[in-house]
Formats: sequence, structure tokens, C-alpha cells
Amino acid sequence: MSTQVIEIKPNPTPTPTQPGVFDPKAAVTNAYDTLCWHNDDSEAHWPAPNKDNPTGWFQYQIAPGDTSDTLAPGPGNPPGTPYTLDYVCANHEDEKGTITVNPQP
Amino acid sequence: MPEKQIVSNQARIEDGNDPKQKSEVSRREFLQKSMMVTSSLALTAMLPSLSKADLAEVLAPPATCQPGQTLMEVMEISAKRPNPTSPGTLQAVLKIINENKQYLAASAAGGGKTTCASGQMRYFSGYDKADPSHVWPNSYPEMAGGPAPGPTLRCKVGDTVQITLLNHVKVSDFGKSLDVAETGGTCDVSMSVGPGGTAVNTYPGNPSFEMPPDCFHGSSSTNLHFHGTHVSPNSVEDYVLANTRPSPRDSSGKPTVDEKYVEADFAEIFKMCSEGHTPQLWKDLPKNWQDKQEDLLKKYDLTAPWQGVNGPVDGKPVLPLSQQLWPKNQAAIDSCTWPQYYIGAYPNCFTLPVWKKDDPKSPKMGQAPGTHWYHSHKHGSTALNLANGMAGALIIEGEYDEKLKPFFTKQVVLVIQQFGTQLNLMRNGINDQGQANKNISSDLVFVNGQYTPVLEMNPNEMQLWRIINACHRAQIPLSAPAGLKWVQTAQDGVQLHQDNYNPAVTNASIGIPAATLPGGKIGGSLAAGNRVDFLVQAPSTPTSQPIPVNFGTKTLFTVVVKQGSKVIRDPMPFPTTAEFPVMPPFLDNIDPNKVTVRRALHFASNPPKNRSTQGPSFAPPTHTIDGKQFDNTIDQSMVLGATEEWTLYNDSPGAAHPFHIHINPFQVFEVLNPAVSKNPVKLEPPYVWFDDFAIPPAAVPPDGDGKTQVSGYFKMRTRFVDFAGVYVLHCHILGHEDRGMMQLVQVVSNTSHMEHN
Repeated sequence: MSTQVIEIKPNPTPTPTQPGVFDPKAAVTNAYDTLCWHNDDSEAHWPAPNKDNPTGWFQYQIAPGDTSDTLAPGPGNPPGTPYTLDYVCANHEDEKGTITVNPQP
Repeated sequence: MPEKQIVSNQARIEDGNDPKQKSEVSRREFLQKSMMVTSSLALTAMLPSLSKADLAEVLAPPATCQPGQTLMEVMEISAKRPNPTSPGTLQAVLKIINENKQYLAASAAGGGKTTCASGQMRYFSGYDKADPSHVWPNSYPEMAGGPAPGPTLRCKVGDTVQITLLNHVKVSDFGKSLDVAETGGTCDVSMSVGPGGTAVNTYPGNPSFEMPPDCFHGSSSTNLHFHGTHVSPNSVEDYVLANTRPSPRDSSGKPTVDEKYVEADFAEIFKMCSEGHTPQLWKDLPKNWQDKQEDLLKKYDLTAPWQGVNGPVDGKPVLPLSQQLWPKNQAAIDSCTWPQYYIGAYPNCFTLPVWKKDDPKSPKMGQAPGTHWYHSHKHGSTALNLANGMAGALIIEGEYDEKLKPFFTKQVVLVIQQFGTQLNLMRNGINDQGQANKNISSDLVFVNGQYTPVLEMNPNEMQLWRIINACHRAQIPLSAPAGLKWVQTAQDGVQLHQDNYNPAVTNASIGIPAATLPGGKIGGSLAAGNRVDFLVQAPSTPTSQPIPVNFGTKTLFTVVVKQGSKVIRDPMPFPTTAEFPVMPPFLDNIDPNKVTVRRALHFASNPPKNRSTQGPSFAPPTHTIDGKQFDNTIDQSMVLGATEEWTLYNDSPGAAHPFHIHINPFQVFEVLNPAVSKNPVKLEPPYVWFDDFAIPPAAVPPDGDGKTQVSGYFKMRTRFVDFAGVYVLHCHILGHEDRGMMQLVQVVSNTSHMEHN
């Protein structure tokens, strides 16, 4: 049972739709582990399953310097199958990341 | 840049703490993070600077994930005294920091499988104020990378304890967790997600199945409880209503409230304590400390984020008034009560009271010398903080161990803990059928930070084992280990009465709930919060196989008997009853004729009133005392000096709720375990002292009508002596406590300075 923090950092080459980047952009975790995001940027970000569903994962955006609530991935379907979650910042549509969820070892 | 330099820089960035405390953890962590980033690529191509040794380090399981290591002795911080007979002073710095830790965990795959888990964990990093060069656990390579208990504190009855508590938790390393949970909306939140990508609220549910203040929250804030001490529950003593937030950090990431920042003010507070006038009101604190704390708290209120927005907006906090900390302190100050909220640091100081015969100034109770402990105790985060490791031994010496010293060669302090980075309710609780996931199991049980370690003994050697169950929930029913002989000498830090010490029984097991023994006696208990001391005698010859010390069907640790440099010709004897220390008079039986008040408290686990409609198809039970959850009100009031008799019921089947009350221990004199019989066992005096006793669960008695469930109970007598104030009683399954199975107790003095002429 592990926990992992994904950092949201300033984009070295910022654009209006991608002022920040997820680090790691491609996170790897196991079913039943937990994740959260820490906003290390100077503006708010909002990880979500897609940009039209900002509250799909978290009720509120993450203020600069703050951390998100916890996201707890479950097993694949069928059990034992890895899967990947694509996500985006609901505030900035080109900020994208993935979470690969492996079966619990 | 050389790799070692990168690692070094990484270490400074990561914790902002004193670089000299950095261990190999950061190196391993750095390497493993590098691995994580590059996992899909050829390792050697991406990390050409890694040597074979580096690779071996990364790929091999860390020591903290390897069972069967030699048992680690936890570093001790001892009181210093001007001469052997003078009262001493223990001066410790306990710094709460966090680090990525690795530890064995039960696999969600079930089947008893384990996995090496990792995650940020908060822990006590401690040192003797007089010797900051030896820091536990950071100076000990054996402990690098894994969770561990805090340093062992060792002092004597009559000593003064002065602890500088520094909260240097880096909140950005954890999910969101606010402090105040009184008006809603501030429980920790966990969203469960599956392959479809849609998340549902697992905790606290939607609608919420539990409400503040009885939900997990504020897990980076802390305080200290000195479990087993008979000291004041107020101000800077055993005040568990204190809530100390993490220190702010400067632009380089270094905590600003450090030892230097508090040194002068705390020295003044500690001087007041040692001179017998401990601060009782805010105005008693050094003005400089008052001003600093007011400033820090107001800055927190002004700048803290709320619902995705940072304060201030238009110069005002975004944090609702109900969530702001300074206004609560101000209200307390205005009403002449001790404020609850602090930033960065807290001074804990108290003197362990000495009972003196025929001295009118003597306290009614003295401090019992024995095996006690300390741990964080902030409501809403006690379970998670203990799961992270925030507990340690507090050994208080006195006549008890002085008298036993000739009978053993060595005393071994064994701190039993369950480690985890996340509580079960915060994990994904849905199985593939959308039902509660039964494969989420309890955290594994460790000893001194190690999993199934090996304790060494010489043939014929006698050791004194001081065992502390510091688990956040696990009960440790010890089976007598085959091949060893042991005799219990103390329970919950209080020695047994000579009449209860029985050197003829060298193979007693420890049941949960405590088993009643032939002759109307009661056996020991290691429910969460309990302690037991054993004198343990090794066999006369070395053993070819390690001797397992088991709890239930699992092994806690093993004992290897092998010949060391010291030869002990004959088995070291257990003391005879006559040689066993005499119980001090303040621990005599409580006279039942002096009981003035009788109370009955009912503990129960119930279906939640608010069941989620979204998320898992289940919600966890609520845990109540007398039908309600903790609500910040005072539930039990009593007069200072009162002798009372309580009956503690467990109205629910399943869990034995360990009842714990602070400040004063109690004597158990009757137990009903309906799983055994419908008839209670009335114990014979002298009664055993406990400060924590697992209430037997409700059951259908085997000798009953076969269908009627009967509540389990125990009866005890206690005295509310020496210290007035507000403190707590609660279930020591700490997730139950955090979620509401707690009450406030208020002891008031009935003396008056008024005269009626």
C-alpha cells in the first residue's frame, strides 16, 4: 500500500493552455495505492478525467502551494488487468497526464 | 554535476530540514525516483552514472522490507541528575518530520502475501538536548528508509520532563488535510477511481456517512500524550486538546519555527515548570512567545487556502471564520482557558509526582514506575499518525525495577506498531463487483520498526521485556513461547501486587480480552494501548531453531539462544514472591466503601445514520459511547478526589473496544465475557491496575438460551485525584476514537475560598 504525490510544476515553456506540467507526466501506481497532486505552480490547476468534467475527480481546483484530496485507484476489469487513466487539467486543456494502474503485487 | 551532489541537493530540497540529518534514505529515494521516471526505458542507458553497486541497492529490497533482522535497540534519551539520588531532568527535542519510507505491507491480493510498500510518513526524530549529534533514527543506518518508533525516553519518578516538540511536517507531501472539523466540509476526502475513469467519493461518502469532528482530518497537526503518566491534563503537561500545526517555511524551504526560534521562550517555560509554577493561562506564557504565536496563527488564517483559492482575497482570509484558528484561541483566552492552537512548536513539561507517606502535601497518587509510552493524540488524525510511527516508549524507573535489577541481565524495550501510509477507509474499497473489498487487510505488525526481528539471549539468561502495544488498532494476544519461561511482572506500567505475581506459572498466555484465571485472578492484556512486562528466562542450551513469539497465528518476533561471551552457568532464577517488589501504598486496593458515584458507559458500533448513495455499496459502522459520537461537549463530570465505580459495556459483537482513560489508572474487579459464559467473573483482590482494558464484545453466551445476545462488560474502580481539568476517555482502536468513540471528562475541585459569615 503506497502513496504517491504528483507535482504540478511551472512549464519551462509556458503557453496559455499549458502553464504547468505534471511531474511525473506518466505516473505508475498499483491498485489500492493512493495518489494526490501538489501544486507547485503560481496558478491554480485542476486534475480531472476530462476538461468538461472538472469535478470528475476533485470538487475544487488546487490553489498554488496546496495539495489535492486523495485519489484511490481500484482493480482493473477483469481483475489483474492493468489499465491507464488519461487526465487533463480542467483549467488548462493542454496539460495532460496519465496514470498506469498495475495489479497489486 | 556529480551524482552524489545531485543526491545531496535533492535531500535539501525535499525536506528543508537540517542536512546533517539526511541519511541514505534520500539517496535510495533519489535512485528509486529516477527508476520510476525511466521505468519504460533501458536503465543503464538512462542512468549511465549508476554503478553496479547502485543498481544492486535499488533493485534489492531495503532492509526495512526484509524480515528477520537482528532486533534494533531504540536510542534512549535519559534524564540527567546532579548526583544519583537527586531528581533529574529529561530534556529532549522531538521533531516531527516526514520522509518517504518503505515497509512491508499486506498485499491487497490477499492470501497472506506481502509487498514492499512506500510513501511519505511522519515520524519523531529525537535527540537529547545536551547531545544533538545523536539523532534517532536518522543517525542509525540500520533504520534508514523505514518507519520506526520515536526515541525511548527514560526517567525516574520525581524527575522533570521537558520536551521541545517541533512540527516540521511538510504538508505538501500529503493529501489535503485541514485542522478544524467542527462545522462541516473539512474531513479528509478520498475519491475511488476505476478503469472507466469516473471517480466516486469513498470517504467520507456522498452524502457523507460521517460528519466533523468525527472523521479523519488535520493529520499534519499534532500534540503529545504521555500514556500512563499521572500528571496534570492541562496546559503544557498531558494536554491532548492541543493542536500544533506544522511550521511555516522560508523561501529555501527550511522550517522557520526551529529549536533556535523557540529556545529562549521555552527555557523560560521549562524553568517555570521545574520551579513548580507551570503556566496555567495564556498570560503566564512569555510575552514574546504569545506575540510570536498570535502572529503566526493570524498569518495562517489570512493565507490558508480554502476550496481551491488562496487567501487573502481583498485583504481578507478565504478561510471561513469557523475554520480560522486565532479567533478560537482568542475566545479561549477571553474565557481564561488554555488555547488549543499553535504553530510549529509546543513545550511539554511536567514533574512525575512522588507519593510520600504521612506528608500532607503528598499527592494522593504517585506516579507508578513502569513501562509507559508517548504518542500523538490529535483527534481526527491519531490513527494515521500512529500508523506512520508516531509513538515511543516512556520508561519511568523507580523501586519496582530497582528491586528486580538483580534478577535480570538486560531489559529490552519492545515497541509494537502497525505501519501504513493510508488508513483502510481512505483506500479504494470497491471490489470488482462494486462491493466492499474484503481483501483490504490491516497493516502488518512490527517490533522496534522491524518485521519479525530476532532477539538474542544467552543460555540461562534472564531478561526483562517491556512490551508496548503501540498499534493503532491491532490486538496482540501473546502465546507463551515454547522453550522460554516467562512470568508477568507488570501491567500497563504498574507492577503486579505480590499476591498476583506467580513465579510458578512460567507459560501464561495473554488473551484479548484479558482472560480470567483460576482463583479469581485476571491475566494480562495487550490490546491496543496496553503494556506488559515479563521476566523471561532462556533455556540452558543454545537452540538450533529460532523460538517464535507468536500472537494469534502470526509471529511477532523470534528468539535465538546462543552462547555469547558471557557464560551463565545456571538458570537465572525468577524472584520469589517474597523477593518481588512490594506494591507502594498508593496502589493499594481502592476501598469500595469510599465509592460515591457509579456510572455505566455503553460502547457500540452501529450502522451509520448517513449511508452513501454514491460510491461503495457499504458504509463503515459508526462508533459511539452512550449512543453518540464525540461532539466537543463534556460528557462526564466529577469532583476532584472522588472515588467512583464504572461499568463499561460493549453492546456490539465483533470488536473488543479497548477502553482508555487518561491521568488516573483503574482497578478491574469484575468481567463478563459472554463468549465464554453468561456469568461474570468476580475477581479476587488484590486487583490489577490497568489504564486500558478491552471490553469483551457482545455475544450469545454458550450457556445461555442460545439466541439472546448479551453485552460484554467490565467493572472498575478509580479515583479522580490530584488533578482537575478536562481530558478524554476513548476507545484505543484509534480509528474508532478519531471517528467519534471518545468523550470529554471534566474533573472539578469543590473547594472554595468563600466564607459565609
